[in-house]
Amino acid sequence: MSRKKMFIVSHAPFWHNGSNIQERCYGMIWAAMPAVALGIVQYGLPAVGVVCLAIATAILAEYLMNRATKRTVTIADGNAALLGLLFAMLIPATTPWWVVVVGTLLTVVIGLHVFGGLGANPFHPVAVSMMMLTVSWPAFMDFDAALVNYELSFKAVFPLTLAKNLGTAAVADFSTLDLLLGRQIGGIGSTFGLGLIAGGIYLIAKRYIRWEICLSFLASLFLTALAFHLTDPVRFAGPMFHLLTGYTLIGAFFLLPESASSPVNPVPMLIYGAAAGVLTMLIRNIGSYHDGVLLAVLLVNLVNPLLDKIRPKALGRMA
Amino acid sequence: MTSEKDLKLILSVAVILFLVGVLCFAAFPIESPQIPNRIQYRSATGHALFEHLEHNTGYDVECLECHHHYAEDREDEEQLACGACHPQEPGKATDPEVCSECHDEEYYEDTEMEARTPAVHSQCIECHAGIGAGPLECAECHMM
Ligand code: HEC
Ligand code: HEC
Ligand code: HEC
Ligand code: HEC
Ligand code: HEC
Repeated sequence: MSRKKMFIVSHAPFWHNGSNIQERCYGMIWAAMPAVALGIVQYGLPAVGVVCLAIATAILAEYLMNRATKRTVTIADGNAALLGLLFAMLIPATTPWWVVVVGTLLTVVIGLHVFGGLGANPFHPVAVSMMMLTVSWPAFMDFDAALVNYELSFKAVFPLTLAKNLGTAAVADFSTLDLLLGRQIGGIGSTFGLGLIAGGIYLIAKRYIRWEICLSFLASLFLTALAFHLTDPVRFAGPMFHLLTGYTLIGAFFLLPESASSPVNPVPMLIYGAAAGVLTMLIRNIGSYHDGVLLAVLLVNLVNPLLDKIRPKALGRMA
Repeated sequence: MTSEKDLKLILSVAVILFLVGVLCFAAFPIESPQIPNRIQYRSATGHALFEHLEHNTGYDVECLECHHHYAEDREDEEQLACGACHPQEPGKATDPEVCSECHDEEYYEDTEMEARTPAVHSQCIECHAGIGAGPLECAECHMM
């Protein structure tokens, strides 16, 4: 008699979209390309350097971690490359090489492997490493400071910094069209609104991410920003502005819906996205950080296991 | 799960990307231009972003209005930072060598140089107030 194979599974429900990890990761990498391409056009070869170094470091770090922990080598599934790419998309093009390397290592080692690797990470690995860098080296993560040497054809002040300090009038120059076309400073791949939206639609259409999370996040961010704006239109910028600046769109489509750290049931997904939207706006408007998306992602990642307790009762179960 | 072939492929992609990355960092370092484009002053009172070139090209302020001390013989790239003459604390010039390019020591010995920060403040704010454009309030320049 041959030995029985055992599968150990976590509790229901499951969501299967017919694809596998590999397809999903490479799908997300493709979806990110338009946004990254604009960053490279704007910031040139230094941006290429950051992106390449981050992806390479992520793959090599995952390889070494796989070897060190004596697990299957998983670098071909594309997850490490995706994490490296996402990290590079959030940081300025002028980030020094050693910050890129340290940040990518934090992403893969601390954000992912310390918790047991893909599927076991309670937080989005990139949000973890970005917050660590923001706290440790604020000057490198400050877009105004990082990009002083670039002559750009648009106002080179981080829009959320202006909005936070000077209110609505100071950001009147940023039209919705400008923001959609990426005419704002920010991370290498986080400013091109249209590109990110196109990527997001592709991901939703291919069912690599769940629309419930993205849309509830964007809708609640919009409504919260609107409520703030209506209470004090001089101090708080309008909802379209907040929808298209900072990490809103990359957060909606690439960070929040990460499979391991987001809920699996529809109702929890809606709550999860909505909570992230409200938190982001609270941090932006009355908190101390300029952009609240990363912190909001971490906070809702934290309550994700609780949210997933809201689920249909199992049939026939007592109490 | 990963076949040996896939593994080799992805590792070589990683190595190539790594080399391209290193090449970009090594061959195209980000150099500060000799004439600063923007300058960000970081401080606990909030970071002040100064659109240096834009003041000349956009707002038509002559270089010599700011680089004020008989600097017309200096090349553009050789203009001095305010701090080259204005010391951190009020008192003697930061670098007397700079003064002795043009003056005898006796000439400037008794000059009480204004400290750098107040000198910068008064130059920026006086001009803005005079023209009626540009920031005057602390928080308009200093952003947390
Ligand atoms: C609105 C005032 C203003 C104008 C106009 C201006 N500058 Fe400056 N410039 C400054 C200030 C302030 C600094 C920074 C000095 C410091 O950090 O101590 C500076 C720095 C410089 C420096 C760098 C000095 C160093 O050693 O770091 C150069 C070179 C320079 N300016 C050249 C020019 C040239 C050329 C022009 C005209 C095209 C010009 N500046 C116009 C105010 C001005
Ligand atoms: C080459 C040396 C030198 C440099 C560089 C220089 N200054 Fe001065 N500055 C002086 C001297 C000397 C005085 C005092 C004599 C005078 O009034 O001309 C002075 C006076 C001033 C005053 C008037 C102070 C008062 O007591 O009213 C201001 C304001 C000022 N500087 C601002 C600046 C700023 C801003 C910069 C940089 C863009 C700068 N200076 C660069 C030498 C310099
Ligand atoms: C590029 C040459 C040059 C340099 C460098 C220079 N000065 Fe002058 N300075 C002049 C000239 C020219 C005058 C005008 C002399 C006159 O009117 O007799 C002058 C005038 C002055 C005056 C008289 C007040 C005024 O504004 O006319 C003082 C005080 C002075 N300089 C101090 C300094 C000090 C202190 C330094 C060094 C921090 C310095 N200078 C550096 C060229 C220079
Ligand atoms: C000789 C005149 C002059 C001096 C000196 C000057 N400015 Fe200005 N500044 C202007 C003008 C003109 C504007 C344009 C205002 C507008 O068009 O709204 C301006 C605008 C600004 C603005 C707002 C617009 C922008 O580009 O961000 C800032 C911030 C600013 N200046 C900072 C400074 C600082 C800091 C200094 C001193 C180092 C300084 N300025 C010195 C004339 C001056
Ligand atoms: C026109 C823009 C502008 C305005 C308005 C302005 N500042 Fe500044 N401030 C600057 C710049 C530029 C510097 C950096 C100057 C330097 O250190 O050479 C500075 C430096 C300082 C510093 C020194 C910071 C440090 O760490 O060394 C303090 C403190 C400060 N400002 C306080 C104030 C206060 C208080 C006000 C309001 C009364 C004010 N500033 C208004 C532009 C401005």
